[in-house]
Amino acid sequence: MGKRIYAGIDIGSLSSEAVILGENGILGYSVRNTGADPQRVAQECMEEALARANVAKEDVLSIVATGYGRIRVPFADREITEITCHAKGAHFLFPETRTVIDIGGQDSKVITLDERGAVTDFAMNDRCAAGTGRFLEVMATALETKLSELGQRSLEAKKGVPISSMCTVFAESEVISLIAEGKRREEIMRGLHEAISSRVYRMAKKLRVKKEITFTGGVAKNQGIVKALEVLFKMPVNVPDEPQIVGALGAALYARSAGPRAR
Amino acid sequence: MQDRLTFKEILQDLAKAQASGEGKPLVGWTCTYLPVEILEAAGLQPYRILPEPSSEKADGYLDPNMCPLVKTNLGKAITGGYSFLSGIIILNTCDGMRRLYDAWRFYCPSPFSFLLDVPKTVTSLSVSYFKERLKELATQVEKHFKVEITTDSLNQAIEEANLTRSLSRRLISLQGRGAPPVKHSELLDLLSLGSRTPRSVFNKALEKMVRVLEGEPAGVSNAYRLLLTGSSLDGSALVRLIEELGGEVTISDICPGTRFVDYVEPSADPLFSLSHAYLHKTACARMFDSESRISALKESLLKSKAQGVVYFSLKFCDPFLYEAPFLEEALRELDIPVLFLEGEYTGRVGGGVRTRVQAFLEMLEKNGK
Amino acid sequence: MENERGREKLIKWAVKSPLTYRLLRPVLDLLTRKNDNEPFKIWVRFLLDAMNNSYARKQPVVWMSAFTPSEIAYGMGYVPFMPEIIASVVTYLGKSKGPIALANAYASSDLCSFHRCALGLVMEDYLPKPDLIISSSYLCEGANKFFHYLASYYRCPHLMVDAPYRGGSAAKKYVADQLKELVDKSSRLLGLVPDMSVMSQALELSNKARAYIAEINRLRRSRPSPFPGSEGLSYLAGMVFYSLGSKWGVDFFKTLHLSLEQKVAKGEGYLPEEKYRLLWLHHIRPYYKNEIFKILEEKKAAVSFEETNYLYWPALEPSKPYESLADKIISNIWAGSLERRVHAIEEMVEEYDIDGVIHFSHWGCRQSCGGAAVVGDVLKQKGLPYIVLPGDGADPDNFSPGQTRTRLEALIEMLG
Repeated sequence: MGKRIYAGIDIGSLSSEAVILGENGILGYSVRNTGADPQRVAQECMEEALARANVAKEDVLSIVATGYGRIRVPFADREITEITCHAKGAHFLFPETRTVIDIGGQDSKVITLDERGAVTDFAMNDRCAAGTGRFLEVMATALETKLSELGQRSLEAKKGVPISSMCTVFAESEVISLIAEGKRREEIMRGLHEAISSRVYRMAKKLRVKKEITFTGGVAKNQGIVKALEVLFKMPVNVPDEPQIVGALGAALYARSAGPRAR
Repeated sequence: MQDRLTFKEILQDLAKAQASGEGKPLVGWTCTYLPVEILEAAGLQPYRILPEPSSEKADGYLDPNMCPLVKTNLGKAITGGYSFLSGIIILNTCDGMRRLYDAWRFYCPSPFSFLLDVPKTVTSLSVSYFKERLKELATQVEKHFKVEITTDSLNQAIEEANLTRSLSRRLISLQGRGAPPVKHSELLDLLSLGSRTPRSVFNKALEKMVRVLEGEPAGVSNAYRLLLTGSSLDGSALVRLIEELGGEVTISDICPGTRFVDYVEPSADPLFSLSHAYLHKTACARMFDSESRISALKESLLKSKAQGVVYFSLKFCDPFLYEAPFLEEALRELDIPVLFLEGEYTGRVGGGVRTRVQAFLEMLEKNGK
Repeated sequence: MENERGREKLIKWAVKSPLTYRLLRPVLDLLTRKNDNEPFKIWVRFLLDAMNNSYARKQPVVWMSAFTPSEIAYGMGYVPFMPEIIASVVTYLGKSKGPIALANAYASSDLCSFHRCALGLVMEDYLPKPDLIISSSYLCEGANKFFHYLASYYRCPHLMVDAPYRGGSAAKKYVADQLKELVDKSSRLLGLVPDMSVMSQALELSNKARAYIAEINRLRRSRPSPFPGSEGLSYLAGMVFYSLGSKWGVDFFKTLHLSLEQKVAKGEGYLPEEKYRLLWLHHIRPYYKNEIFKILEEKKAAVSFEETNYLYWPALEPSKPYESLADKIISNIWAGSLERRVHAIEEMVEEYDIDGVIHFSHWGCRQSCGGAAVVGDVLKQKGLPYIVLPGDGADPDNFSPGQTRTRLEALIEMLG
């Protein structure tokens, strides 16, 4: 056939993605919850993406795995960290990207890259899930709202209630007591988004952020956080149409640049 | 009612004086082991570096497992919050302060920075070593600020500071005599304001307060009497909470506030006098010998008839965290209950702390104390 | 239940009986007869001997903090016992979780896990009772308070060397005077008359070991790296802390030197293939089972050197024990101003031809981790890839395998 098709797969702590890449761009992709069996979800994700791309598995020349579960993908030819992959993916979508902010399920990262898309430095949150997707999930539950609605609703507030703790456990009880004090939920949401953003901002400031910034990972779907980041960085932030698949896209790009696997 | 009014006015006056600094160069300092008299003798205005509690924690500049006071301080320094200072003096208090000194010089160097070595023991060797270091500080200050520090100017500064100390102690001794004319939270605010205000202004304010308040009759109080001790406090929010919930801090050994030198003897060798007095002051947990601090605490407990102890430590504060079991054991012997609290220098008291303080007070009530 | 308690009692009896260590020695010799890692075998024998002496109590047992020069103990005829090092051995044997859990009831879990592990062992009464405790105030803020607490627990005296931040003659005199006071006081407390010829001999032994260390460090500059960093951070560092001033120390470093000389002559590296050379910062690594060094090996990255093995002190003068040990304390690159440590690290990067740097961040440690950002910024300015690797030396529950892998692999990917 002579088709030049490559794939990337990103097994994150909360969600997993696969991207099928042809010569002219993305042919298909899939996003699923990781759940308890990363190997199975890797398989399912891959099959779904292949089906959507209308590509047979045999036609894929090579596969790169990334993300937290990258070492558990038996059919991958190579594994590369999500740090390097997010940089690559973001650089592909927005070639002027010099800084990537990636907030995923359990990690937040700030990555700086050069004009070729290679990582020059990175910072990563520590042990706790403060200010990540998991954190937002817990807060959404405490605020009795859907995770997907947090962003939009927070934009309805004129100001945010300051949140002092970023520890998931402490912040949850703080949110609950703020609700009990009768604070508006939208304002609490906005406060949470501002707190998360300023945490990322501080992590980023240390790395000497350069223009342009691209925001990846599931949390980039939250417009409230995008807005708050733009205010802090005093510049617009690129958000891909599908921010969750940037890591898998980067992985596929690495697969493509390495060429077909040796068999 | 009148004393309340006086107090507010006095605080406002002090805040104004602090802003002006009498036009002298302001030099930042971090720890009560610094004999500020040396700076005052040089015509400089000592300014204790106490950042407003905040969640700005200099992320990335220091490891997350460092003292939150140090992190908040560095956060403020890096964002230009201390650009008005003509110099900084950081003490060899603890690992956190040493690393603050390193990072401060690296990321936002001050025109003058000095690390003052403070011994951890109180012996004749350490007193003479500390004196050597004070001499070095004096020499560096003279050189940098092009001033002269003389025996006379040092002794004069010592005498003025002695006045502050004796007035402050008199004010503190009014605590716990029933319906205190000055609440402990206010007292702590006052003392921490004093650590950055020109001495003469602060002394005048203290004199006025002591004169008014000493004349008032002792009241009656039903509040639970507590002793507060521990590391640096993040403002007075915790003490206000205790007061709001029906407790009363009758005595404290805490920073910033009451952990200051009592008296320095003016002499022909004032640097020796300073070295001697500062090393012999009420010990911070950073010092080698925990027993002397604990026996001093026991004494204040008995004197103040406190019914319980609140032990506060900032997170990651090694000296106070490692010393906690010592104190707990000592208090168990005295059958005094202790409430241990940790803080992150955010200046806010979370719901969890409120519950614990309230439960602790309820426990004192049940104990019938 | 009854059985369980009986077993525990038996184990404790065995741990505390000097006979165990005397019996273990021939058993281990037999078991390891095919193992040609002679230096490691000396370390094991050294430990067995140290445990035997500590539990036999024929000489005074003196507990010491890791950064207190061990020459003092050997020179005074004491048996040094270093609970921080023992905690790392206990961790290596996979037994740190129990004692740490026990200690957590009394001490904040933010404090150093080596101290908490040792505290747990103390509370379970596994360790040999100290006659005296000696610590020093530099580097680790917590150690002094930890040892002070142990002194009150065992009701034994505690002496401390107050090591100043600043150098210079006043500081040197201050430390030397304290060391003299310490020798006088401890002899009085233990009813011994100090024999200064034994002290000079200990300093001579320490010097001999030091000369081998200098040679070992020089050999480690070779490409490929002849000695694994993981071992540099375990028994090699352990011997530097624990054995200087004893014959064991000389024997160990001499043997290690010989083995490295042979390896270097044959061009043998410790990895099958070496593509990158890394420098490890901080004194420790996680001692429980983990994959850090396996991951690095997969990526063909050698840990060529560790800052903890940097030879920072000048040769000692056996006739002037107080002054020269004071010199050793004052020249410690991790005490005092950070510039000195940074310069030493820059020197190591140069000498060992380093491609990338890992700064381990031990959760309970403030002294070294506090400087991680400044050190990193200096190195990054030189274009050297650098990561901080958060973790915990003794507590396996405070370690994230996934994050660790990601950080390590990202470092390697940055190396290109």
